[in-house]
Amino acid sequence: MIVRYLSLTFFIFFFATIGLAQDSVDSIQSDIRLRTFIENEEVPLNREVVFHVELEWKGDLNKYKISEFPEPAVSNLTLRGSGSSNKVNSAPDGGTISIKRRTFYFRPLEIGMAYIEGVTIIYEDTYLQHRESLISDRVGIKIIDPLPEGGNIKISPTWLYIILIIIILSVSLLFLLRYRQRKREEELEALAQKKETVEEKYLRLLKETIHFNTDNIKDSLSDLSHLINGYFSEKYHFPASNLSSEQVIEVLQEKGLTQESLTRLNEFYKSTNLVKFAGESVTDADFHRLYDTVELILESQKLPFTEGEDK
Amino acid sequence: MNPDIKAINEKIVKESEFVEKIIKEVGKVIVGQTYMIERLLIGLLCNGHILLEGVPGLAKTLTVRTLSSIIKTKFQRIQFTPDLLPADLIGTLIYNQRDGKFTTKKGPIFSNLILADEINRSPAKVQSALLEAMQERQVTISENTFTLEDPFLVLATQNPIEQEGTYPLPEAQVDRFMLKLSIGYPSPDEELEIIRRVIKTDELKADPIITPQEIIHARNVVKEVYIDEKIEKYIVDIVFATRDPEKYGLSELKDLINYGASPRASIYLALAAKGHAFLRGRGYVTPEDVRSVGMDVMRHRIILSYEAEAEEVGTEDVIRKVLNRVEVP
Repeated sequence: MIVRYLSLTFFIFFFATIGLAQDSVDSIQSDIRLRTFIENEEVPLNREVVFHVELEWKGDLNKYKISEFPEPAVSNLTLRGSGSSNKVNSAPDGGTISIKRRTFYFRPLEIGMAYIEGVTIIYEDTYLQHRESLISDRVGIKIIDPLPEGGNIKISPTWLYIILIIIILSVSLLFLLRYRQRKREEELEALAQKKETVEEKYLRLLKETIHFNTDNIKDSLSDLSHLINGYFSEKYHFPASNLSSEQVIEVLQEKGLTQESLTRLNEFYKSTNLVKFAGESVTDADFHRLYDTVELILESQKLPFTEGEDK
Repeated sequence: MNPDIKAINEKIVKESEFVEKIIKEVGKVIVGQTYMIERLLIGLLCNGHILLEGVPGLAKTLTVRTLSSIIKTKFQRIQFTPDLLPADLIGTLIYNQRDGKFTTKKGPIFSNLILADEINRSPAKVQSALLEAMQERQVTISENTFTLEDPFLVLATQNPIEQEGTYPLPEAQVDRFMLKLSIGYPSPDEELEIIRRVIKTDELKADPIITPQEIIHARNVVKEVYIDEKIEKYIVDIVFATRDPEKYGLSELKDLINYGASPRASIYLALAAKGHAFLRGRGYVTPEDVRSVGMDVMRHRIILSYEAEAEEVGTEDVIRKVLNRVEVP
């Protein structure tokens, strides 16, 4: 047991030490925080040393203005380039955290130790109008033997060509199959549309979606009402579901719906309105009658030369 | 039908018989304007004040005068002018030199039907005096408070043209009117009939057919009109669509509306829909009732943005879009 505790303590201590080596907080002054770190402590001779300098504070990005941010002095390294970025994060307390980061890329010169000297950064508090400075720590990097270029796997150009041809052929085949499938679907859809008229579609929906043996007959009646309104919307291109029953009848009258259908529809709306808005109970017989009314309206509209169609 | 609703329905069919008589009697004097007459009756039955907007000469005053003679009520027409004072409206204390005492002289507001003609021609203090009386249904002169007699209905008119030298009513005060009516011109046939009637007869008269007590009784019957939960939700949806149009698939209205309709709109929409159902002799409210009064209830309760003004989109266009988009139950 003691051995387990000791080993656990050792591991916590060991990883904390490594963490500190990777990530160093150099200075904490007022609420601005300077953080410098390198991506790898050991860098092969033919790779780059990436060194980040990060300034972080609570508040707007404009709170501090960086006046001087010089390039660090280095030994056994040569500067290849640098870049900078700004970032604004939200803090857990709801505020904002602003981060300014500058990254330097160095190329190692020789195997052995390389050093990046401390950088003095001068910043200005834009609210209080005073200048302060921050200094980063000196960082050491171990430059090791170069890595073999091109990795360990060597593929001959012939194989590369074969793989490339296989990929191109597979992609082309996939596209061809998908194109044929889509075309077939379109053909089927067009065929179905050609075959089924609006009336037929709604008669099919009537049979498929409106059921007699339901627990809540009022809901079925509401569905029936939606179905007939949906039919008129599709057939005559007006939002029947968003109009009152009186307005629907008015529009249909203008569109030239037959007087017989209008009378049936008026009766249907009167009965459904009583059920929906006046709490009238509905029996199975009533529901059958209203279902038949809808069916009759749709059937009568199926007849050729229907007045006012698609006006 | 539910037995209770059936009883209400039968009661309303019987109690609303006078509506047709009133419309017929007003028709003796006024040609057309059924929309205005019906809305005036809704205001009367739902105890809500009405703001009428229309160009001069559309028989606004004559309609109100005729209605008051039919109801056998006291009627007062007050012409709002820039020099009108609150005391001219509500009354004042007069010193009697004979007995050395102050006596109260009640103003024209102490009536049943008040026609506040061109309300926007008077300054804010006079408008406030009237709107306060409308809200509280009482008037205070010096230290004495007088309750206004029931029914008390204010019908204010506004002229949409000639806006120079006017004092537009603030939104908060306009909100106190239950309905804002936009009165239009009569049709060519109606205009022809108007000419014929005026040429033929010197003075057109309507006979009294209902008493104020009967109106008060009818108001209680209107309150009994059944309003289903589905209709209530429909009303809330309409009002909310003016506040959060995107939620109702009306994203094109998002930048056009600064402020949507207030909760008063929901209340008055439900009340006015009940009144409309009563006029139709029905004991329950249908979506048709809500849609019929929707424009009049919300016309003055939606504040449009500068963008709407620039695009020449009016409140009525916005309401029409809302009514045509919100799904009817």
